[in-house]
Amino acid sequence: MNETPEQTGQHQALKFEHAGRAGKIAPIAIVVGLLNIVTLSFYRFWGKTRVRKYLWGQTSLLGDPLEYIGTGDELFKGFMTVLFAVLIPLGAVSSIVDVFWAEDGGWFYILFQLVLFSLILFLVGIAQYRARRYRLSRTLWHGIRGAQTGPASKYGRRTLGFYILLPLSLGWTYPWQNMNLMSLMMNNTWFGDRRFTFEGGPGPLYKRFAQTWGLMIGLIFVTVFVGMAIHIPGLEAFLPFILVLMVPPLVAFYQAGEMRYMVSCARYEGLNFTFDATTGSLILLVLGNMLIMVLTLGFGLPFTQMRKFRYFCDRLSATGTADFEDIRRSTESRPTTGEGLADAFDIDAI
Amino acid sequence: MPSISMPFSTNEGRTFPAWFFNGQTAAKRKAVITLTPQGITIEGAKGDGGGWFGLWTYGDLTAAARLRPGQPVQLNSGGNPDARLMVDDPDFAELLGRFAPHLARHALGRGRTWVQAGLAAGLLVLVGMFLAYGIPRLSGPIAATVPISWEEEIGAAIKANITGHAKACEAPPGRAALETLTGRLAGHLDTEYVFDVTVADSLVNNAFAVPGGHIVVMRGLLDTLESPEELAGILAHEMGHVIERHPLAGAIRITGISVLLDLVVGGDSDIVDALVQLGGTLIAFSYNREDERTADAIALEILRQAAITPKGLERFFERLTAEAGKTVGGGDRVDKAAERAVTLFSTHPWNDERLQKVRKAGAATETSRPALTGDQWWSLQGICG
Repeated sequence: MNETPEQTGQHQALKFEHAGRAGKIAPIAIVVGLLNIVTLSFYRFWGKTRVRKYLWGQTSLLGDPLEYIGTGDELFKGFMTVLFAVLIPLGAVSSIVDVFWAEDGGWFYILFQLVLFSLILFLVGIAQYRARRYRLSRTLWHGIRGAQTGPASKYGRRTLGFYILLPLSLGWTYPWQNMNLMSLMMNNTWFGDRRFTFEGGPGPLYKRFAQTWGLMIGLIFVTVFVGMAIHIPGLEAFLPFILVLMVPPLVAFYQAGEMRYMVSCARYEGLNFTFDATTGSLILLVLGNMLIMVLTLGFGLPFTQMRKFRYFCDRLSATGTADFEDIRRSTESRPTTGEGLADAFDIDAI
Repeated sequence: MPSISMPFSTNEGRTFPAWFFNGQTAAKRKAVITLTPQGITIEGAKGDGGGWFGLWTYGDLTAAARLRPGQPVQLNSGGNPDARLMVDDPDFAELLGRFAPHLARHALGRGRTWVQAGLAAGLLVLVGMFLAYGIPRLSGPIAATVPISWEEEIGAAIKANITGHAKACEAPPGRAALETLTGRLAGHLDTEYVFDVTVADSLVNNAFAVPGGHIVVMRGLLDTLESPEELAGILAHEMGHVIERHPLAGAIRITGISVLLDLVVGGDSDIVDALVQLGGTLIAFSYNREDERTADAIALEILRQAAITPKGLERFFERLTAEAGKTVGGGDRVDKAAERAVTLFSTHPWNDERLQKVRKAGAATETSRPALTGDQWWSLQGICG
């Protein structure tokens, strides 16, 4: 809070900082975890809100903290709405069809299953979009909120298309479709009355994607070749194991590149963004978080979320100009409840 | 509390430097604030253009965190919910606490958390009581309203689900013997149900009735039986459950329980899913003592009308008492149904009174014919090939 107002509006590097501490989030994690158990996870709406308030509050830009202004009641109402409007009708219809038509296994049953499956993928997309819309609308910085506009159904359709084309193309539509999804989200993301823009084709991602596949094939080749050349007995038995171990680093290699590129495609007013994600640091982040979850029996979830926040804040920076004097509050309507669908589908979100 | 007037006299009019965000633009303003009896007045700092930003009354104030002496303070006001005031001065928190005591006490909603936890716990108790007492009471009356044609559809699906991968034993001579016995038992009954008895090739030591008149006898149980009269007794007992619609009531119980748990726990209910999977059959097809007493009474009546001695059932009950619920597990393979299903004792509560009643009926029996011929019994024992 020590910057002077004169600095805003000049060409500068904007620093994101995260000051969350393990010692502070531990009691929150323990209380929330215990209350979740005692209430059969009924407390989760308020628990999530508590964790978010801490994480947002410890994140600052230009020395001023973000603030999470959502409430547990909103999340609870969102869930109840989805429970009665979507989950129970869907569950009832599919149970009835299961009981009366599953035995025959006829074309009607198969068609129904396909429609149901597609509907769920569509709803997953909508859930992700709406959850982000809620969180942005509950994020305050310098007295101004974020927002996300645009129809969630479009994102839902693209998500459905994503999951249909992915297996058909043996994965090769992934970079293009992921870019499309991100573009739809970012081009509808606002801070105050100003919109983010997202521009860029999937070309650079395909280069990275091809490199990842090349690395994979090369590594398999080297493993087999070296194994045969120096006559390692029983290598065939270990080969699947070695391959499985190779996958996470390769995924991290691709994802680090993807994140760097995607962030570089985003603009806000006169600001450009860079994100310094590296393969090694990403592996450490993900491995560390997996270890924390296993060792704490899931209680450490808020701690893993804090590590993600810190990772993003440490590596994200913005350069350029933005005149905060000109950015006004948005007049868009805001969602009144939040994340019901995302909660119903257990979508991983902070 | 006379000292409460002190801060007004000594600190009234005291000013502090602050940062102000007006909630309309993203600009950060340097401000000077004053604690007045009406509230906090906010003005632009002289070097930063000055101007009047507003008066925030104490009652409207909320703080991002509970006030702690020496710590920075972040405030907002109900009248302008997105505007923010940030004060770094270490003296401010304590002073503000005297003007706006509510900020020092429960700004974080600490009290509310416990209220919510209490409400949640209370709701949980209510749900638990409904699960334990309400649903079992309601399941019988609800079952009575379901048409038998619906019950048959539901039962076929449940039967397939419970027997799982265990295949039905179909050796024709065995089937013929089983149908003869079933026909003889059901012959005198005045019921809409068409009984269908299946021997499932599973090592589990159990027999149960599913909705719609389907009765499943596991091979594990059949192998332990010493006479066709024992089987006749068991089938008559399960028919008693069917006639009283106990299996349908069980299916309604399990549906009610899973819907209710879904309501409470919602989407990420892996734990509950697992519980329902594990305990599902147990809860659905477990009967209480009253159900068993009724089924036994009907069984004795069925046996009497079919002129089959209840001595078989008596002998079977005696052996159960002796073995006290040991399961048959001697096979060299464990199939999925065996892992999932439950033993006879856990689904059919036992007490000595049941044996006494069957003994009495046995002593009173005058004429009886064998349940099956020796050849038929031999074929039935070989039904699984």
